Amino acid sequence: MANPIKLNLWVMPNAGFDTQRVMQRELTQFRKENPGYDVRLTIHPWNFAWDRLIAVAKRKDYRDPPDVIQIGGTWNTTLAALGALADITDFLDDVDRADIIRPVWNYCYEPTRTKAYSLPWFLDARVLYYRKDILEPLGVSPEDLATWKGFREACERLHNSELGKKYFAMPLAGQKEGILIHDLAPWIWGAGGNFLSSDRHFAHFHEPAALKGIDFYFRMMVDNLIPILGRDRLSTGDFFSGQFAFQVSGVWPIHSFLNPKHPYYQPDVAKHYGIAVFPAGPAGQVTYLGGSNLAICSTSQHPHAAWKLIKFLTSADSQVRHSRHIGMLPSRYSALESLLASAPTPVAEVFRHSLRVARTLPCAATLGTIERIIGRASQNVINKVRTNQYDEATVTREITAAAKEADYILSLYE
Amino acid sequence: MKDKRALQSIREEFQRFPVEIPIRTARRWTLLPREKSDFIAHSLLYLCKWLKIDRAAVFMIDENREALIARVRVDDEDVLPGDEEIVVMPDTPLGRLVAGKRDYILLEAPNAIAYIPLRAFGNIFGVLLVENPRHKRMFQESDIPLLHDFAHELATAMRALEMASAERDQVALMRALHEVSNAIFRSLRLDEMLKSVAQSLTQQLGFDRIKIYLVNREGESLESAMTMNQRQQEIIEKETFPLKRDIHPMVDLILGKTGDERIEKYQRTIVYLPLRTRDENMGVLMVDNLLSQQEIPPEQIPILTAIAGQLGMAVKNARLFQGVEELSITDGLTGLYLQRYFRQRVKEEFYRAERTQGHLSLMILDIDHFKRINDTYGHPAGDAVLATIAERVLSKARKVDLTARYGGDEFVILLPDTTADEALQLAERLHQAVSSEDVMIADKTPVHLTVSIGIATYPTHASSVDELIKRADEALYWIKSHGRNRIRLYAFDIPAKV
Repeated sequence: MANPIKLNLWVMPNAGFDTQRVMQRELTQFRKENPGYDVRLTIHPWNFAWDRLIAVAKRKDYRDPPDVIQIGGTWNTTLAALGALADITDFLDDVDRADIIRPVWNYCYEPTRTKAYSLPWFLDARVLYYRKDILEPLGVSPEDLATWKGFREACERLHNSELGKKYFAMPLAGQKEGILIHDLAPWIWGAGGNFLSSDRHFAHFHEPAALKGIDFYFRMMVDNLIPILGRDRLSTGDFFSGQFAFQVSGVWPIHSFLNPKHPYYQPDVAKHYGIAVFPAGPAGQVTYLGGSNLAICSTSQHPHAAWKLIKFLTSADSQVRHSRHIGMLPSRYSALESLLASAPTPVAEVFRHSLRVARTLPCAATLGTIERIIGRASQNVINKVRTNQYDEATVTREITAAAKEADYILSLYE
Repeated sequence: MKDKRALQSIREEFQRFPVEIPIRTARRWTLLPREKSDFIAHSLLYLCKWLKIDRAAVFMIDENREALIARVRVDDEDVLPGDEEIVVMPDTPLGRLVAGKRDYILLEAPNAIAYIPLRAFGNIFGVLLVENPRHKRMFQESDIPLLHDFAHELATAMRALEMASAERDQVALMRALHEVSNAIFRSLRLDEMLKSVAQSLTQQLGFDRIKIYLVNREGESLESAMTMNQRQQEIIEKETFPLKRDIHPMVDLILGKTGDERIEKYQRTIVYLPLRTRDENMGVLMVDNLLSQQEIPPEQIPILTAIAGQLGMAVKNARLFQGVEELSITDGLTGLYLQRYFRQRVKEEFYRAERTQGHLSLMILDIDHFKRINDTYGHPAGDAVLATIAERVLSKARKVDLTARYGGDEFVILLPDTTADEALQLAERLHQAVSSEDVMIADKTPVHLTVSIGIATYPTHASSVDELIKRADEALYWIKSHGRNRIRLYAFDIPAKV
């Protein structure tokens, strides 16, 4: 038998310390179904992966470059613009397109949607977790959480009650990294705003609708519903450590904190949690959709073999097995339904519904820089909250300045 | 922890780590890994595993020696980003450790912690932090020698790696300067020279993108002249900025306005360098790493500045050359190429078509009854007609076509990579453009003009340059003998022109 074609696969530690084991099981199956192929797996932490991929794209002498790579969905456009990814448009004839969860296609194509560079592997949609044991005594029902108004009233009711001395309403997203673009996204979209113009030439996150959503979010901090500092004046902890009534998160907590078989299991929280679709804003219900894709590296010597591997890993069977171990949603409707069939009905329904109203971030090559600009502006706003200087004019000024900076960046590439 | 075999194993592990750059140091290992943070992470993971330590981190001392910045942190088997900063106060234990006045710090609460300085070649440049929050096992005085040995091995390796990397970067920079300088002087033709410079810069310094903007000849605007991505693909795009203040920070830079907040904020990822000669600004060289979000190393800036200076001079020279060349190859009245230049280019294109087995079409356009205009309205009117027709022909010809004045009232248009059918379509457009509107001559008298166009195509009608011109001329002659004002593709039944 001829020597097998050797493929290099780079992934992130999607299943934590179990990643090697989880992936090897999939790869064993792949080798069994494709006897002429062998796969070498390398796991790169998220914070190293970007630099590695850039090094592969830029250095012609990169030793042992990967054939197939896992990329964050929002990396697709940027890496394609850098020439790091192979065009897989023709390969997509081989894919049942209708089975891929619809909005996530945005993360596969370049902005003009003529060429595709990656295929979705797994997803995550933001939902609202809440503590029934905290809300019930306050007379708050799950239906009250359907809108921003109801959600805010529930937070205020907690804050002003005796229970408010023990529990905070909601933790600050991204305590360590600062506020990220995907934390702000549902608030901006829910108010009818957008991050960028549809041609991606201009920032739109400073327009009145977007500002309304941003203001709503920061006012929760001003009113201490989202505390910036904890009771010890340092860390605020989170929902799963038992100090909060709400948290916006993805599917991962169900796999970890709320799962009795997981080492991070939090029995006290797990007993009392509820789950809801992200509350609807004045412009309707919308939530953030993120995820990881698989792409063929442009330097791969075996693009057809690499596609075989991608096709296998994104197949419904593989996705069902894989998603169970990593605590993410599969990118195929068929796999999703198999997975949700064994989930409690409310959880399944909330995720089904969330995927129907989910949106992706805009496909702009400079999105990484725009994210940093928004992150910096958010940090400035938080500093104003911290020093009791927050008002509508301040947030407008900060966000408008950030939009102007983003316009400059967009003018250079989009 | 007292086991010296642990240190031996760590040393051996250093040697086993995936390697790329050969380094000669006084130490035992001679090969070091290509990524410094990988190397540190790998070493720390190994330290934790061998000495059963929960967490370890390497902090670097900042430039002002006022803070320790985490470079890499490992927790159990997890490598975490270095996102921590510790302020160093002078009269604290940590301040004294950084100043070299203490050899280590041991703390018992809240976690068992030890700080060990990272010292190489006599300088302390960082701190190794080890923690045992989970095992709650205190570090002992007796652990210190082993930790010191590890810190010493690690520090020396890190410094050696840095020196090797700096040396490699320096060599790369010198090579880049040499290569780009060569590229600048490789051609006197502006387009070729800019392309060659952009290729050389991307190849040598690996920017995400390079753009060269030039001030137009009239000094009114800044126009993109070359854009190349990091895969050395030229990107065709047309950008024009009027040379007026507050339109774009790059234009402000050309106009001498400095200190733009946006330029300063992004100076590590987007660099603008004016292409200055002694007495004028020729344009801007812009390089960026905006997509990859990688900093452009500060040591590259002087090299880029030198390159921009050379490039400014080279652009000026290329323009002078272009001016002289244009004078010698173009017709003063119509601005079209002269027949002599056309003959030279038609040969080049013919050989290219032969080599690539492509098509090459040629059309000869003649103004019908041009003599009457000269006779009726005088020669200045005839000149005005020629200039107007040339303008209309140029407006319809494609960028790749070559248009020349062939004789008195004859124009010739060479159409590379064009079949006979495509040439016919283009001829229709030219014919339409010329005859659709009257030409105004000196005293505002409208004159209606028509043209005849003869076409021949290689390889369909001809097998040599001379034959191609002859066949087009024969097609034209046929029209003239059949009433004028039409288009004719050569056919073998057309009688030869006598």
